[in-house]
Parts: sequence; C-alpha cells; structure tokens
Amino acid sequence: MCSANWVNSSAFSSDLHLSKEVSWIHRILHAIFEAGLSDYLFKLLLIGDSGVGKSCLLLRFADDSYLDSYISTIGVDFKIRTVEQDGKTIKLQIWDTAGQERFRTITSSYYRGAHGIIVVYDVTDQESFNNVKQWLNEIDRYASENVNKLLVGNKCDLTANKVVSYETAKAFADEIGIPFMETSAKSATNVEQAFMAMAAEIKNRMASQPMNNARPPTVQIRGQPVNQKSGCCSN
Amino acid sequence: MAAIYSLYIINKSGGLIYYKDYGSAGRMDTNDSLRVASLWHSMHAISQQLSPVSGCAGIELLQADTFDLHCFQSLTGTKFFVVCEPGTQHMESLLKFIYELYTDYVLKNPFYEMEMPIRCELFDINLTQAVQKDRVALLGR
Repeated sequence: MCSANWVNSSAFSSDLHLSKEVSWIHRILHAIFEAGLSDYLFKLLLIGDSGVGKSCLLLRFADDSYLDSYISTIGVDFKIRTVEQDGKTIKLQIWDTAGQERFRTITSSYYRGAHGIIVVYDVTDQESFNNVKQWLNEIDRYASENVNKLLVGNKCDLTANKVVSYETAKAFADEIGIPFMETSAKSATNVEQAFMAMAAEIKNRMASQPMNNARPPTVQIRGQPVNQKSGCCSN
Repeated sequence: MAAIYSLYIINKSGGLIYYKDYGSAGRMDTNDSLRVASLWHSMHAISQQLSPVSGCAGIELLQADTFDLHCFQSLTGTKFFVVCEPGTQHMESLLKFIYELYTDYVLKNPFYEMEMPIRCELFDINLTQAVQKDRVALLGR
C-alpha cells in the first residue's frame, strides 16, 4: 500500500551524509504514519492538592458524570478516552494521582513519559492555588523538559465562595508561560475544552518533532570486565 | 496446556500499548484492562523499592486464588505480562518468546513509533500462533 519509490531515489545513490538520509527517511515515514497507520497514545497526568477535584474532572471527561461525595484517590487511578483530532485517533490515558502527601512514594514513576500535565487548584481555596508553585517544581524535577502543561482552576461554579480571581491566576499563568482555564466538573464547564486543548497541543508538538530523535537515550548499558584469572582450562 | 487468560504489554512509562484476551474468562473492558496494566506498573515499581535485597528488578510472579500473573521486563523497561490459570507452566519461556516476537515484528517495523500502541499485523499473527498452538515442546527449551 505504501509506494516503495523512495528506495531508488537520488538520496540513496548519492554520497549524502547518513544522518541527512536518515532524517529524510524519518520525515517520509512520519508522513505515512501521520496519514493514519497508527494510533497515538498520550499519557496525561492530573496533579494538585487533595480535594481540588481532580478525580471529578476526570469522571466528567471520561464518563460525563459527576459525584457529589468525596472519595480520596488511593495512590493513582486511570481512565482512557479516545478522541479524534484531524482524522487521527488519539487515546488519552489519564493518570489521576492522589493529592495526599502520603501517596507520593513512587511519584517519579508517574511523571515518567507523561506527554501532558494538568495542574489543578480549587478557586475557593487560596492554599491550593499557593501550592501550584510546588507542583510546578515537582514537574521540573520529574517530568521530561518539553512536557505540555496546563493550569486549571476548578469549581468555578461556586462563584459566591471564590477567593482566587481569574485575573490573578491568569497573570500567574502568563508569567510562567502556560495556558490557563477555569473549569467546573459539576456544571461541565470547560472540562472537555481543557483536555482537548491539551491533546491538540501535544499532537502539534509531536508532529513538529522528528519522531523520537529529540529525546536523549534513557538507557545506559554498562558492562564489567569479566574476571578471567582462574580459567578452568589453565594448566 | 492450561489456559492463558490475557496478555498485556506496557511501555516504560506505564501505558498499556497492547492487550489481548483469550477465551471468555477474565474478559475486561478498556478501562479495566488499563487499570490493571498501569497499577501493575506502579506495583512493580514499589516492589523494587521494598525489596530488602539490593538489585531487585521487580515482581516476576504474582499468585492469587484464581490466577497467576507472570511478568517479564526487558532491559529498556517495557513490561510483558500474562494472566493465566493457577499453576500454568512454561510462562517464563512464553514471555521470552513473545519478547522475541516483539523485537522482530514490532521494533523492526519501520511504521511503528516507539512507546505507542502496537498495531502490527505480523506480530498479531505470530503471537496468536505462539499462544494458541501447543508450543510446550518449543517453549521448554
């Protein structure tokens, strides 16, 4: 189904640098890949203080439902939702982490390989907004450098109790250069938009990146010289 | 040969990139299979940290009343695991064999992008053969 003409093209017969050829091939393969031979799987992470509504956001996005009772997430929970974007099937695997400190033992393994991270705070809780800085530090520490970030102020339906204004949060987000949205999992405001914006941004980033070349190798294979002093065949 | 319920492959960041179930027992929907896969990833990581002996590479076998879970982790951190009837033999060699199929038919496929879901026809075909035919003799090597 994919034409094999490129095998005979001039890039192969001439004396071009290997790296040039490889990147050229990559671009073609990537174009074919883009044309729909494969799915994307994006790992999204929800982080933020306990009780800000991370699980509710996820429940709204994945199942379009809402629970009024509070159940603390134990460790981590997962949901998947498949979305279509520009004719591509994108599987969003969302990792809903526990906000409570005591579940942080294996945090680094959650951040690893994440494509996008959504930092959530509660617009009725000043402390949760103050802690956003700490969460961003965690991202810098554990996540890969080019990960997409999004700041989300949840519970925006509770206008009477609001203590963090849109302007304050927006100014903060602009200052550190990440997008910002106010959502409500209860009234379903902006929830879809938040996740879809994230998916679109990641997809654009992946498309502009030549396959996986930008990432440094993460595995170091080390060897040790074998001790050969006492060979079984010696004398 | 005792029954294999399902096979999972998870990438190094804990995402489920391949899932297949065999037979009617233990069938699950997408969210449940994802939950099992990614929770296993976490448990595997925890077990490495909990080990009293240094150099632990994580859980290889989990035994429960109704199933066994055998896990094989490649050097690059991709994990392969099967859920099967308790006491099923030769699962380690089956996993190694599946790993070989993965290197041959997934990693060598130029259209496959690393860490993304596996949709490779040759891999599917060969995997089906490996799992469903009685390969005990071959796998017993």
